[in-house]
Amino acid sequence: MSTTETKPPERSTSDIVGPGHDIASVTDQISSIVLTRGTPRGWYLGFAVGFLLLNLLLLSVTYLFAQGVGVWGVNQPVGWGFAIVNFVWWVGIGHAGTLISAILLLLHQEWRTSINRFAEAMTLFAVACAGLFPLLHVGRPWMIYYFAPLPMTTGMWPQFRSPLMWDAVAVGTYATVSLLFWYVGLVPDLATLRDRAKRTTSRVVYGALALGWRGSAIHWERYHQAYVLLAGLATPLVISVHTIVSFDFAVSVIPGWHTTVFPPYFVAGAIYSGFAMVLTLTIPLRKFYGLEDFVTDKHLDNMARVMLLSGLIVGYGYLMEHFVAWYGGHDAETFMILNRMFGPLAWSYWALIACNVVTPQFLWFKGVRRHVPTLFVISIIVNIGMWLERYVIVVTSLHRDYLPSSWGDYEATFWDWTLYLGTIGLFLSLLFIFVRALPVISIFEMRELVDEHEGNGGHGGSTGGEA
Amino acid sequence: MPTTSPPDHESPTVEPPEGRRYWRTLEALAETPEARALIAREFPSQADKWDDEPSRRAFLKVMGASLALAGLQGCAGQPEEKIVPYVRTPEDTVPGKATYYATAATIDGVATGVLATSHDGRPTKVDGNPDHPGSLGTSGALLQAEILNLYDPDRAQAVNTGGTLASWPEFIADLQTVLGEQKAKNGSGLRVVSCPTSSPTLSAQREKFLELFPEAKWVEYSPIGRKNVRDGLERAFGKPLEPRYDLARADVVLTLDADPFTTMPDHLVMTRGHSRRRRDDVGDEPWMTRTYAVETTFTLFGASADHRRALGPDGLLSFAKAVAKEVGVEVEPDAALPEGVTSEFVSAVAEDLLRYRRPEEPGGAVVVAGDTQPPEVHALAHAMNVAIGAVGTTVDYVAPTTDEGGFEALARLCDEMQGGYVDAVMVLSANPVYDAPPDVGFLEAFEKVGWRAGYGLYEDETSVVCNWHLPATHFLEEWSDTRSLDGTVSIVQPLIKPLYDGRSLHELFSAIVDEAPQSGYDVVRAHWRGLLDGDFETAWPTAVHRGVVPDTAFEPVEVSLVEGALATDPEPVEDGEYTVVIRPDPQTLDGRFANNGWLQELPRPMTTLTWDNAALLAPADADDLGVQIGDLVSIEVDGESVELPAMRLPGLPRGTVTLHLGFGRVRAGRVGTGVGKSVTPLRSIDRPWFVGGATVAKTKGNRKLALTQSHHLIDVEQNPEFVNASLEHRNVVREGTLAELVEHPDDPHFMHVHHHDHNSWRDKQAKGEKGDGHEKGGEHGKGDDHHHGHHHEEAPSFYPIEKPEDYEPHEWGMQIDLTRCIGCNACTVACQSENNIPVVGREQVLVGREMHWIRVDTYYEGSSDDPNVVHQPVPCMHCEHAPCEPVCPVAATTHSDEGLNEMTYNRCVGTRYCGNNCPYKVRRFNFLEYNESYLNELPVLDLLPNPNVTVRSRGVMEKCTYCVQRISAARIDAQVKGDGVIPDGGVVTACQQSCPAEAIVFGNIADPESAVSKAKKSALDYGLLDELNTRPRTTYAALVRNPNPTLAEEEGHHEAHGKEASGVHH
Repeated sequence: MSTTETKPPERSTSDIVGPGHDIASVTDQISSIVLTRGTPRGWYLGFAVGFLLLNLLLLSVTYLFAQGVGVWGVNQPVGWGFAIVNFVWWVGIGHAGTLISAILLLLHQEWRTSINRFAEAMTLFAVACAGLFPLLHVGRPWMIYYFAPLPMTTGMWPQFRSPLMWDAVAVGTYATVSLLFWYVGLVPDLATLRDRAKRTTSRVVYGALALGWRGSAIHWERYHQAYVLLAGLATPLVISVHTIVSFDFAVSVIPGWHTTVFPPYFVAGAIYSGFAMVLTLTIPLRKFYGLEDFVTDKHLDNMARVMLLSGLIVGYGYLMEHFVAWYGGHDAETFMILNRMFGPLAWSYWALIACNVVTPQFLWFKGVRRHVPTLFVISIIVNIGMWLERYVIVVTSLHRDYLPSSWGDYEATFWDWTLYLGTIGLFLSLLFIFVRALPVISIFEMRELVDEHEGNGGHGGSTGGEA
Repeated sequence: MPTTSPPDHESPTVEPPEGRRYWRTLEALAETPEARALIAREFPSQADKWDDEPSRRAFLKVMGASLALAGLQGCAGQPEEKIVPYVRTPEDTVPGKATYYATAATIDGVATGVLATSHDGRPTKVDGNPDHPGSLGTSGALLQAEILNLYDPDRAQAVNTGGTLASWPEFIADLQTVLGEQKAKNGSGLRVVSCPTSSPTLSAQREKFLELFPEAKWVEYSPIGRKNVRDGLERAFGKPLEPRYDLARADVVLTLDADPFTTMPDHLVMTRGHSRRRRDDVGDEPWMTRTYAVETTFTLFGASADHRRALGPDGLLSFAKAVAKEVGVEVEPDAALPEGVTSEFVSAVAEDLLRYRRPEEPGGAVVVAGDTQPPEVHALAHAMNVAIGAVGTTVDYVAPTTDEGGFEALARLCDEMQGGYVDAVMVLSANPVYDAPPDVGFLEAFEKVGWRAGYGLYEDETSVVCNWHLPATHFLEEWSDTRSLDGTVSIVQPLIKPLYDGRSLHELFSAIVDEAPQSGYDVVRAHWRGLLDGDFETAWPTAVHRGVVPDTAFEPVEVSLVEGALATDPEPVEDGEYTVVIRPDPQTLDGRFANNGWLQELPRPMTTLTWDNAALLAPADADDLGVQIGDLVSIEVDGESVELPAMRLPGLPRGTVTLHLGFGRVRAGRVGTGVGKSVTPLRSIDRPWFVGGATVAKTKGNRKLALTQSHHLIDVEQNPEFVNASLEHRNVVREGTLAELVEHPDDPHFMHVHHHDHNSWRDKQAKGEKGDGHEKGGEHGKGDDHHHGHHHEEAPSFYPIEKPEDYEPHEWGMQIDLTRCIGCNACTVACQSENNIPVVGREQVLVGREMHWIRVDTYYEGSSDDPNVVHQPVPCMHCEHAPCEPVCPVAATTHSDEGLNEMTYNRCVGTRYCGNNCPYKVRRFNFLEYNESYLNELPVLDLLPNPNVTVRSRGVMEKCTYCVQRISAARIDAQVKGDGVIPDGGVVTACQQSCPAEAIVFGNIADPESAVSKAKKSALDYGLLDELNTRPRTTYAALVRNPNPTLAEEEGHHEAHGKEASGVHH
């Protein structure tokens, strides 16, 4: 089956799969991370960091529930602080996975194959982190069920005019569909793991999760129907979630929030931060597990291009905020922009511009896009920049609005930071468990890719499970 | 037990180190092991906790638990004997329905009539008594806060001797022994120090006491007393008198460092009288009082004045003499006018004062000198009042109700004590150890006396060094009587049995002067028997019921200027770099209200400072010193120094530093102990209020000041360009002059300053409502008043425009008149009392979490040397299109069918979205459990809340409700009694009720004839941020001032110059 001598076909896949791979080697290499290689010391180290931070989360939440949200830096007028900043940040990060899986699938972008599984997992974990905040940030979390349209003796329903209601629905739907999409995509690979697993426990667990997948043609047909259907369902959700998250702000009357450009600008920002996070995680992962053959420089280059594009849209959003503030002629809006640029929190604004507008300009150069360490650094800078963007929107807008008498300050407390770090801990813990327990790259899709590359087309010879 | 001998008084205290002044001694005292032991003995259950200095909140919590027992004792209102429930309910008792009792509160002998609310036997609120001449139904912040004093868990609860629990009989026995010894000496070794008192019963008892002990002495002492005023009048008219100003008849007022709005004893009445003359209905009254304020610090009167000049104390005297000369007083003016006033200004003031010399008609001018000014200035002011014909119209003079001795009398007493002439001293409701100036040397002299008894509501700095401490009764617990400034007597009746083992002064003195001790009730009744007109058994209940004894006011005294009254000048004060200007704190006064959390957390007028005192400096001086807000500065006078955080206050005279008394208490209670620093060490007998020759220096360190409105000032000073660029246009405050209003009475141009966008709802409404709702005279019915700038097509709107009939019969609305508002904050405390608003403590205020439902915003405009100041109370606007309502995901804030924006606490989950989306930022969130320490840990505070208002838990948003509980009560009443329509005035909100200036009008705007509907029809009516289409139900009447046209050029120039220089605007 050696193809080392063959020239790559016209429609080259060699830059998205390393040379010298066939179906078996793909399966071996990816499944070995889970099944045969054992647990490397580095994994323990990384998981320990994540787990430690996860415990910080538990500590922080316990203290929060015991005392109330007053342990944070929130106040009047800055009623929302880190909790909402982090919520929006995590939700934004959670966009890349579904975007990569669903939209790029529908657009037949084959390069997505090697990163989609990982990106989807990241999405789910990011949404899980995000989902904590709405619960934690309310004053009386034990009353959170008032959000649900339950038939209660009070006869009260939630208030559907509130963007927070839409938000709860949108994020909930997104999380559900993303989970389904991810799980459906996992089923054939779970079957592979079941078949290859040596230990009984692994076999039972993977077997149960594989839902009896045997790789029959009917299975494949249903699988494809379901997967494309879910992709179609997930696609509008990618757009809608952050659009609706942006409504939390855009529907209000507060200068800096009350902005019509928010929906597209938030979606672009979400994609921007999502891809940045995928890069941040993929680069060390592929290095560590030697997956350069599957996640090639071409992948990184493509993701960098998406970042550049979405970064430019975000930059345009910033520009439009300024333009509208000037063109709209409302003094409070003008002041809001001036305050962002020159007020007491101006540092956050200029840091944001440096991170989100200046930094991505380097991505115009192919040399930068293909230089992995630089790309890694840029991706981290963009992550920070997107966090700062939410900080600027939430805090800077609130701390000085209409009446100067009510202006205030905002200073995050110890418990704000621990909660934030704690969710990073949750994210990392889940991620490390995922890397250890499930194939980080879709085995069967890679097999398809290799197979196609060999000219067989379709699923010939591929059964998903071991024959 | 008579066998209980008073312990050696030297033991608990330490001998002061040689050469140190008493103040340091006192502070050291609080730190010594002996003192700790002493305290521990007094409060054995919490000995280890008193010494902690954690955050105030934590402190409150820790302290609370250990007082549970004491509280239980206090709550026990029922007697021990067998009790029987009602078999037949008393006729007028309706459970759950409040009853109201007239009584009176007294500060330094000046009474304010009180109407106290009682719920099922538990007083919950105090308000002014409309029948009382010292209240007229209004109440200031201090009076409102009295209810918290009643339930203060730190009140003294039992008699103790040297820190050991004792009883009244034990004390009386010991007292009798002492009195027995003194009887032989004619009482020559017996002294009493009391706060100034005007109680006729007490003064009868005092006379009896002095008959029994002819050589005993009684000194009335207050650290913020009115000795200067009385001395000044004695100088002018030959006898000590009390001036009474009738500002309701004044067309022109000149104040010389006076603040008729806050610290003067009759301030409620003066404020009301003044505000009625500052009205805006141009048709009826083409004149409003013109006010000139010349002062050494920034007073609230100065803030509202049409013309204000800031001068140092000597400059003020020069100015006063120059004006006096021009109005015809025979006085030799100084050669030059002080810097800061021009001869044009002096002439303009003098001319105005004389122009309204209309002795035959009501109205006229008046000159008011400040209580802290030296007697010479008072003499000068009253000479001017004689010259301008004010006497008998705008000012008259009555006999003083108290007999204050001032610091001199206290110093004489100290000399006697030092000299060993004094064997026994009783200190009654006074705290000279804390508040007497150091050169009085009270503590050292006091400790030389063998037998010392301290009587008071608290175990304070003085009590703790007494052999005996005696708990007093609060005025809501006792029978007494008192006089208002004009002499009118009020009978003080109790609303509740004493919570603790307190006795009234009458009961204490009855034990001394009567054969058999009598109850307070019997003493007071016995005094008035025979003094009341008519049948005593009918006259007495009537007097008690009404809260005033008829025809007891003093007759005005005929006065004539004494020859040579103005011959001498006071000693010049200004000497060297800085002059210290000392004032009583508007909220803690001399420190007696220091343990009141409401008052400590109430933003001080002008500075919005809470939980601290600061050294107030003119911004230019602060720049010279290089200090920013909160930087510590040391103020040193003759070796005594005080270190305080600095604050920059625009409009202070250069070279002065204003300091407030009433802070730095070392034994005030859990709230007041250690708040701020005492500035008493800088005072002396000769210079109690103005101290020259001070040096002010920046020291190391900084203290974050808990300001409720800090950022505005700081930003404007640091970043004037961009702040002003946008804020000028915000139109938050609209302000104009009477002349402009007269010119365009229906649509004065200042209502449209920078009002470029005509999309505001008002413009739409003006047009839109003509067709439909306007005839009904609804909220927005201004259409016809607007002749200018309102000819627009009705702008399209997604929102339906509500019509008044949607709301019939009631649709609530409010208007706040900025011309009348003086910024005194009475509304804030009244609201706090009515609506169970918690105190959050300094740390929470620092992070911006104060809970006040109505706040008073202060804006400075113009230069920082001579700013124009505007106060704007901001409660909930109850917007018709409330931005808070649609964003709540759980429908916890909704619109009622009477137009109220309501909070349903039970439904609230606390997303805080509503608070974020409120452009007025009036919503308040319970970030933590702010009520816990009060309600769970201090049972006595369970008695405090208004039962008709929910006490909110943590995690819940709250805000102004327009006192919905009062609306409900009125509605129920109207439904029971009639057709369910509440008459105009049937609902009075707490803020409105307390406002001395009548700046708040509330009522039914669906009724075109209601006062609020009429007020809203005024051309001056505007909605705050109405360009946001929120359609606020709370609107404002623009601020109108009445400047002297002849000074326009001078001030215009001045102002323009100032603006250029500092760029400080709104």
